[in-house]
Amino acid sequence: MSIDLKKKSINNSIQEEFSAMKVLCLKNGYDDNTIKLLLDNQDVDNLIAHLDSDNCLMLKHFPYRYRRGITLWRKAPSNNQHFMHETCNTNITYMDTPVEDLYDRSLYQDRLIGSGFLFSLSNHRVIIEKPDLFAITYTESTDQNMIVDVTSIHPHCITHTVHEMFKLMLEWQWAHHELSSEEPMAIFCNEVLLSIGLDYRNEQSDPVVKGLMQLPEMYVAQFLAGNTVIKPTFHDPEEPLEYKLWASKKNIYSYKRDKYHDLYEACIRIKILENKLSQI
Amino acid sequence: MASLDFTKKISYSNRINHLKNLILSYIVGDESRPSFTISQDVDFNLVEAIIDEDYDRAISILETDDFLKSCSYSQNRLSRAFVFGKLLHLNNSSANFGKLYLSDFISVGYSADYFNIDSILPEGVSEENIVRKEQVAAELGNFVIANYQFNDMAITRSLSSIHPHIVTHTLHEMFKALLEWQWAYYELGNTEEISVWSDQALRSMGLDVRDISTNNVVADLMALPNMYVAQFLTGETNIQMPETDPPVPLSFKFWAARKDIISFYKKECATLYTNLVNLKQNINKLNELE
Repeated sequence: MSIDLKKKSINNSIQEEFSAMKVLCLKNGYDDNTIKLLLDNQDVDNLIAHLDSDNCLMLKHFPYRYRRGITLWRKAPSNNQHFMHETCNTNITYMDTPVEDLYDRSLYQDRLIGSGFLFSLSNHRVIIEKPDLFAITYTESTDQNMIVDVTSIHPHCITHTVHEMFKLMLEWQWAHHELSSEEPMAIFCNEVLLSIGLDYRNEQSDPVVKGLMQLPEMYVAQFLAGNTVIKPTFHDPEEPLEYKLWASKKNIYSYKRDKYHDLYEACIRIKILENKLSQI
Repeated sequence: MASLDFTKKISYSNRINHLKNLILSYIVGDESRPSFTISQDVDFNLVEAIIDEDYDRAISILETDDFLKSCSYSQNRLSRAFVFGKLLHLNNSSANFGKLYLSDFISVGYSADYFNIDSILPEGVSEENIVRKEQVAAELGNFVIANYQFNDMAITRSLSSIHPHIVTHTLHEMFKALLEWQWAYYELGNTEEISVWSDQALRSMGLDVRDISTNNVVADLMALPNMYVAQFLTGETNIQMPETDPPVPLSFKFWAARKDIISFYKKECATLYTNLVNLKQNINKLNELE
């Protein structure tokens, strides 16, 4: 294939995105900073950073990694005898329950209730959920030891970033199919991922899965490599661009005003195209 | 032989490069033909797949409801029914014909004494209650293949189990089934209504089972798993259908797109689709030689 033709096609696509973004700008009335970055500079990196910031993004990553917890919950029929019944995400039909319930254990419950963890929470919101299947929540704690402590409890349903959570679930899904793991967590992660259109088996054809699978090893992969003690990652791994785009479409990044959604996704698409151009 | 293979390789390689450039030019566009807009997510996915030279992904993106005007396959195989029959216009249809209604104007009909859908509907359930979606999948001269989705999978199973078994779960399996009936027409002198109709329908579209050695569409369709006639002739009395959709032959996709059986909302998508399928066919042929 002609290299020049490929470059031309990518550049053409980038220019079309910018044209579409200018139309959005005229239609939606963005804030001054957004307009300046878009119209004056066409600075996509800074525009993405601006849109990710507090000005536009409701869900902002708390800077202290170990005081953040992204938790996977399993939806179960509401039961007023269950310790999770009084939590904010419970409705008349379903409530969030620890995946640990499927193991008939209560280590997680004991830690949550007994350690004062719930009182240490400074922020908590639902990131994504399917009403009858799962919820993934974002939590901030004033005490990092609390988060790290519950992270260590099998089946390790807590990570420090959303994309690491998806990587972890993909690893569990892999174990379910490749190693025939019948662990409740493996089966559950498979169900959750398939319900939102993610499947590790599509790694070659799905850029979102491909990007996530390239993230650092999570608990399952580490265990299979012989690590019985989880090796911590000290910094947030970079979010793959294709994952960022997918996450935006899934409303994982909620915007204060919806009009920023289209602009954000257009910026990500431009970044993806620019990366492809730089690889040629 | 070696030199013929070498010539073929060169020929395929040239064709592949030409098609790749042609496909990429759809993104660039020119004065006479606008390029794809990528203001929508779906267009971007397609553009990305093309730039990445992931042609399988590009083809599968085009085969979704975002682009496809003709019916795309629902996930549940057993709820899908492709039904073959005569195209009837209701204003002059014969009372003798059992009907599956397609719209206010047309229906798929059969001789009532040959195949009567009423006989397999559950008691007290009318056709309107069970048919979720009705669409013309293909018009073959005076005949039609209709696509239905039934809420009750038992209906599809019942329909497909009744002779003359003109119900399948995919379009390409339907064509295979019709080719088998056409084969019976020519090779066994079968004069049942379904054999005669299959022959007329297929020949109206330029398909003839006797061309199996010269027509790659016919050859690839005949290579699909045995349908009803073939199974019966091998002694199978209990019809076994695959549990999953057999892969769609690329030659069939190409042919169906050219015949507008696989059709798109945007005209440029149809051209892009046939070029992509053609490219994949040539890549496969080159790989076979290497």
